[in-house]
Amino acid sequence: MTALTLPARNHGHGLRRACRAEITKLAGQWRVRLAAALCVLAPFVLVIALKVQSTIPYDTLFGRWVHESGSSIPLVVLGFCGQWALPALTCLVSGDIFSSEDHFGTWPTILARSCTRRQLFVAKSLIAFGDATLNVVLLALSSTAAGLLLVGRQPLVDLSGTLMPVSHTIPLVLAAWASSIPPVLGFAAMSILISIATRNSPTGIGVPVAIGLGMQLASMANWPDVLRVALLSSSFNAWHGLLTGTPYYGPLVEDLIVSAVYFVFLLGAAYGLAARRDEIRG
Amino acid sequence: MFRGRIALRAVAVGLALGALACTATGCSTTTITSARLNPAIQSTFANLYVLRLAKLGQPAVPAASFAARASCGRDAANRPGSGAGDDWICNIVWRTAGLGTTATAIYDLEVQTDGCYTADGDGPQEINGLRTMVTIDGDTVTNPLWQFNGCIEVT
Repeated sequence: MTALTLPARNHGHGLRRACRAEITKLAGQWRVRLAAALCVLAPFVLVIALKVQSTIPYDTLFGRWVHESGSSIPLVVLGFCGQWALPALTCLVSGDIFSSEDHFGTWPTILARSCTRRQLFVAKSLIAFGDATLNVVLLALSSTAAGLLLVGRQPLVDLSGTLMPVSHTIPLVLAAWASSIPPVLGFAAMSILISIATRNSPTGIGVPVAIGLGMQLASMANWPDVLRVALLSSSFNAWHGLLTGTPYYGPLVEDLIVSAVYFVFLLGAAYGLAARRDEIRG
Repeated sequence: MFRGRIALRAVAVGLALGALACTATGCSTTTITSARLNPAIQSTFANLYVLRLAKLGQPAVPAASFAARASCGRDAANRPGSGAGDDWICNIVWRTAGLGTTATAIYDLEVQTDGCYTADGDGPQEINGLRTMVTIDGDTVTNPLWQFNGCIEVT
């Protein structure tokens, strides 16, 4: 009886302890705090800058309405962030959480902890995904708050030219932001794989961002739609259909499928690599 | 060694999935066509026209009463076209209020591969030439017809 229950309990303990250790380590990094602070403050700074200059970012979707509808602010911020800011914010942690142990030569120390290698991989990955999701949530909430508080609760002109009351726009804005979480997790998995493969944090952070930008360029070409949809960065635009008069959800479904495929393959490859590494093997 | 093999396997699986999806969907090159853009553009324009009239303090009329008709094409000759690009041009004809006459506006369109477009007014000046307009209350606001965005579903 005890022989059967003990390992299970140990399993949970090891994972929890590993997670707690990773959170402590991460919370102590100035980069992580800076990124979180940026997510909270940047939308307010943007709105204030727009107000002072009276210019409008009219090349961004909803950019024409930044002075006349508060709901446009979170959508403008989302449109901008999907280009490179979200992958960059994500990879800042996930591209470093494994390779920093290489950099500081600390694999032997953390492997001496009472947790298995699998628990360590799961803990580090979970913390990276948690941090990435937290950044998205912070940006979504603060850009919505910045719009509603500094611009106002006016109705928004949707993508069909009709006015949408703020009670309709806010749930759609939050849904639009939520749709960026799947591709963000895909990019997190990509940077985990690259940082494990190269054992180098600048590569783990920089290369996924560059790949994301490359995918953006590629998505502008008149290729078959299926190829464009298969690019992870296209998923950041999946929300557009929500803001039309007759909303369509096809791109959101594709967003989920494409991101899940990237996530499973990249994280699976990362785990395969990590399991074969000598120092992680101990 | 292992790393290379894993990467190769991943690429092979990716290509296979891509090919599968391609055959499943018929691998069409584009679903952005005049036939699909026209209705989207004309109804968005009519809705925004209603918005503009409201800002000018004119009595509310339903968007449908303008009977706006768009014809979009990919070159100056305005022939039907297809595909994403920034060389789309749309002529929009609508019924003007009361008089029983029609008016025409021109828009330059940039259509993205995901079906979202930016329409930029190219005349007449008093409809879509200026970024701002003055409302009945004397406020200067964005002219809804100056430029507008919209999206059509492409997949």
